[in-house]
Amino acid sequence: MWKTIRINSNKNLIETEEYKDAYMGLGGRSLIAQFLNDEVNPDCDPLGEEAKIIICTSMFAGSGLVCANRLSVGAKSPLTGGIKESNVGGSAAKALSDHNIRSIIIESKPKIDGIMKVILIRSDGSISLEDATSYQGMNNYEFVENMQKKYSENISVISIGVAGERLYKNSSLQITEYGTNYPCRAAGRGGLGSVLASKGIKGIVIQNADEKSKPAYADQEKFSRIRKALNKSVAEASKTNPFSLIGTACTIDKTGVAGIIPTHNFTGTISEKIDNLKSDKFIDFVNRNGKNQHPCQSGCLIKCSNIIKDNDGKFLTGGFEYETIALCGPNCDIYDFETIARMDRICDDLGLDTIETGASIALCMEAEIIPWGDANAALELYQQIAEGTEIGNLIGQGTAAVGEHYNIKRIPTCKNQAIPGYDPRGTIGTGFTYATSSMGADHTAGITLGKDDPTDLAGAIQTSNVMQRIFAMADSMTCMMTMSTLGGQLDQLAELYNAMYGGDLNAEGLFAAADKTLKMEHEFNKKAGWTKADNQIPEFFRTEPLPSTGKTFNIPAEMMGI
Amino acid sequence: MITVNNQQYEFLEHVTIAGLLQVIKNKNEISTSALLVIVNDVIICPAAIYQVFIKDGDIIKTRNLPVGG
Repeated sequence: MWKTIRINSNKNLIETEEYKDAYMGLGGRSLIAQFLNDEVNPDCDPLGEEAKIIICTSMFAGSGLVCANRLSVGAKSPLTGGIKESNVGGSAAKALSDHNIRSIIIESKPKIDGIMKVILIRSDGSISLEDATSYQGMNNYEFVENMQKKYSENISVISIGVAGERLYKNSSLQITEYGTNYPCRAAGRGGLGSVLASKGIKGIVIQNADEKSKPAYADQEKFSRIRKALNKSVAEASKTNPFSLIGTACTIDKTGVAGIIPTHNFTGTISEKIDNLKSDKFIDFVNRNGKNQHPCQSGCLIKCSNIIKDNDGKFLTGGFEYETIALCGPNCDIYDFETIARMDRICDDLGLDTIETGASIALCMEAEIIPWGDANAALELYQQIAEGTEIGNLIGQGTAAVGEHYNIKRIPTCKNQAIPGYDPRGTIGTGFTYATSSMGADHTAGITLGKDDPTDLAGAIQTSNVMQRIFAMADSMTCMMTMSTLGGQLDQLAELYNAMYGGDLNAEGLFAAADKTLKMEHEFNKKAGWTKADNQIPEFFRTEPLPSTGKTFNIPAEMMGI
Repeated sequence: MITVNNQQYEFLEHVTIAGLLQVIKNKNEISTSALLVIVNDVIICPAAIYQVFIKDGDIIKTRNLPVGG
């Protein structure tokens, strides 16, 4: 059975624990919700002694199920002050699974602030804390390169850049990508990079296991049979899925025309330049030097990722996603892929959430610190973040802090977290999710966008509530992208669960588990001080109509639990 | 009769919503079974489609399950 690795960063102690029976059947988001409720005081300082960070795999990691090699990171968020689970592809989850590790828990605080370590998991399974002082101040790409030189080319790395080291509230953890081994996959949201830094950990290096561990199955034959059918269905659907054929950037074809993509700090002003960012232009851009249809994790059959190279043919970035394009691009009146891809690279290198950073840069434009749409001035601000200047450090505190500092009225955040790439006036169900979810403004907590996205209040709220449950389930199992196929085979997913863990769960049982996860998350947040009065959408979305539709966000406050 | 996405289908007893959707999918009248299902203006949990039987006169609407990047 799996192991839990527990690291006390004060005593430099590493303990290997048997995986708790009570945690059997949990993984990813569900495991994080249970763990944080069991072991972390919700009222704690997110960067303090009492706080803990957990890094874990999803419940089907290592099993060969499509997109199941997913890594989740969980902690109390320094940005939202609530629970945070951020999940990511890359190579690390499979590497941990091969070592039979389900979770790594890091607790306490180093005796001396600023002394950093690397957690090294060797190929023979032994684990040690290695001195990382010579890597402090190093960003992710250079750090990974150093680790590869030292420990082998084929390692998986989870790491933070200077943003995390400086305890920025918009800092990410970066994970090496399957296939390229570059740290371009991000557990981006909620500032969890700073939590890892507060434990004095620069990174986790995982060598490939000498002997690969296999998950234990209650019924392996049954598991293999169902897995094969589910994988086949996803592979078949991928032949026509735009996320597979183009990437998540294809979303712009819908949100751009509809005026739902954030532009000019969520004014919704539609520029004709949006045509520069449509799918055909994206494919041209990618094909010029790189490629699309890249799997970011082993076992991915959807392949929504991509590889972007610079003009010299060198790797620039990967996982160039819709959210990054939307927030760093049109939201700042910037409409060229080349500039936005450079911003993505800088964010991955420093270890920054592209959503939070893009939203913050737009506020700097609104405050007239730099001109709207000035790509060079924007890149200069990214450089200021890198250098840790006064304004760079301010941006590192997140969008809400930037807005408050400049006394800006239109601050696009919920629970202190920047709103992602869907204007809530154009998708009120998604806006309801932003305001009410346990994760703050987060599209992956329950997006409702798409054909027939309800515009009536009851329909939008119902849809949001159902999608919040679906995503709580998905975030425990696989990449959410699989839900466009597996979401129609929940009975089979339940049987797959039974074949691995035993029991007789049905599809309703999967949802009951998701409900339990959501309940635990909300309980954590309540104890952390969140109240229903925090379920707010920024006022300007209620008063300023979206230009493309003339509609405002119109779900009354009393329907959001206020 | 029951109505699914404005198309009328003959009502059959003891058929779940999932069963009905599979029949419609087999006819290539919907492209995926990963759907949000609205029965008589109320969205139902995707897990419930395996439990809930269709009723004569039901008006069912579906939309593809949203996912986002």
